[in-house]
Amino acid sequence: MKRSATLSLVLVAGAGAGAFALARLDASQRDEDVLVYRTLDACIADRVRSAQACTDAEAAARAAYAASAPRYETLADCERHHGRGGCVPGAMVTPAAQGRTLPVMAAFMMGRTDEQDLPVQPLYAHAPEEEQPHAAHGGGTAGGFCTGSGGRVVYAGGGSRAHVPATVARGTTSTPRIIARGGFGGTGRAVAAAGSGHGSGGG
Amino acid sequence: MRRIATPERPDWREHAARAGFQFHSFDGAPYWDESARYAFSLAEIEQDIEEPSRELHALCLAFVARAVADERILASLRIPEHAWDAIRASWRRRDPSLYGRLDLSYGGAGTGPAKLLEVNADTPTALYECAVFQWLWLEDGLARGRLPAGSDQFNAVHERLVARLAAVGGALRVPGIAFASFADAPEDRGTVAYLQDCALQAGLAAPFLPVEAIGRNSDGWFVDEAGRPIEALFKLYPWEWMWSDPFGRAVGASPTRFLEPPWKAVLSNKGMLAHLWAMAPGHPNLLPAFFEEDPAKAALGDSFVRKPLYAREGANVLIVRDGAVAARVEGPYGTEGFVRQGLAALPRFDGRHALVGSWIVGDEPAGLCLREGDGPITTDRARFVPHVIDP
Repeated sequence: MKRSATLSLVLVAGAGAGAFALARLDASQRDEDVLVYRTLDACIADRVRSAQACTDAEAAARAAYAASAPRYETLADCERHHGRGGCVPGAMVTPAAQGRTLPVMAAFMMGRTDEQDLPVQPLYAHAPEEEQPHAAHGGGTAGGFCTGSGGRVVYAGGGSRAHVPATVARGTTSTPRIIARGGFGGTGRAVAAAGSGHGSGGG
Repeated sequence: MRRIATPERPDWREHAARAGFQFHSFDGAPYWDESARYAFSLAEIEQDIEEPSRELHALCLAFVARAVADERILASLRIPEHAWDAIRASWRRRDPSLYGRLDLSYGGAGTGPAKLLEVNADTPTALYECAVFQWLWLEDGLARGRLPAGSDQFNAVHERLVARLAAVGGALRVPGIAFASFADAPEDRGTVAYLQDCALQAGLAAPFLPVEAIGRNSDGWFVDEAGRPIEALFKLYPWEWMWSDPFGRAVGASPTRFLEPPWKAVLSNKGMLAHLWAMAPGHPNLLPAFFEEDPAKAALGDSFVRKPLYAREGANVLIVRDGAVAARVEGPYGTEGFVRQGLAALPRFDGRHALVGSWIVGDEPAGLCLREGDGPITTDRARFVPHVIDP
């Protein structure tokens, strides 16, 4: 027989909807227990860590924030990821970020115990446009948070505890990522405008 | 090879809807056309199409090996210099490829060997309708007794794609592949959705990403909408456009791996037809071909086809027969120059011009699609007609 023995499709019939919802496969990764706080007061009030540990962690996160927050080339690029109202001009955070747009520091993340030896990390609202079914009112953290290196921290908002993969808990970055978008597609749009067809890039 | 009028299934549009085939018609005219089928003998498939395809693909790979070692070849293909390192590095790393399609002029046993018209190495479409809907049409036809019992089809495309994607994931050591195309082009989106489906079945994560939403971070990674680095990116967006886009210069230094890999740019260019002919002059499955500025083109006489180095869907192709323009399709291409190729007119069946598309998945011939056009140049108006192998 020259043809496929069987053929089944998982998502093609619902293409475009189902495709977005797929998460990355990360089954083998070990999780770390972490604490996530929006404010220093919330950390102290939670009494899981000492007030001194909270104060130190918050200060460390602030310092890391200015130095390592992702830099976006435009406000639109930044808000596309962090939600409307989730970004500020870089110069407001540090003169070194003049001319860029930075997400606001929405929370900080620390280990549950000192023994975990986790670095404190500033967190940013994870509210990408495509995950907001009704994106008109922005600024929320329905998608939880993300770290400066792009790791997801899923956090419902009620308690302080979260589980994150070890790579996210330890994956700090000291150099900020500068993120640019829209660098692919322009040539294709221009060519497609000049011709016409079913598709644009096919052949 | 015969064209056999075949009654359409009255409910094929419902079948298409259930199978997610949303681009079966184009501007109100059918693109999927099951009012006929092409029937082949097994010998025609295996000896005249499958084996030559294997050989032509091997010749293509041999050409890539030459091209990455010779800047004159890269320059002749009008590939911009800033892309050369990315192309060479991807070949030296042996970045795996996924698929491609050879377009052949073939009229059936006794009409001479299949002739290679062009290679769609980078962004071939017509994939889903070949691999899935054509296969379902055969199964349904057999189940309902509408086709002769024992009819087969040269079409292991689906099986091979799933296996190849699993192999690619393993070779690149990635847990998933992001799939990018224009989100608003139904045929492109449908093709990519199908490949996502195959990737899922291969055990890979397979998120979609509009091509314009691809970002780039300061570490050189291309990133998804959430700013996460993309380890592997399939793009149904041609390399020559990527090179011209602002991010094109960043490809070479990026740790992101691509499907098709950058070295495929060497093959998705009609200038390579002239190089293939120079490598294997007289090969039975090749047509003589020369760059437009090469005086040797005179060997073609006054009948030839002129094709832009970069073009798709038959745009800007010109057919000259006995010194007179026999056919021409307008389009936006041609600024990079042209090749001239010997004329191998498409065979006509019931007045239609039939083009054989031979799929390569990985490095193996995997299946067949037939397109029928009203004119001698196959354009995006050509209809997809299913095929069978006689029992």
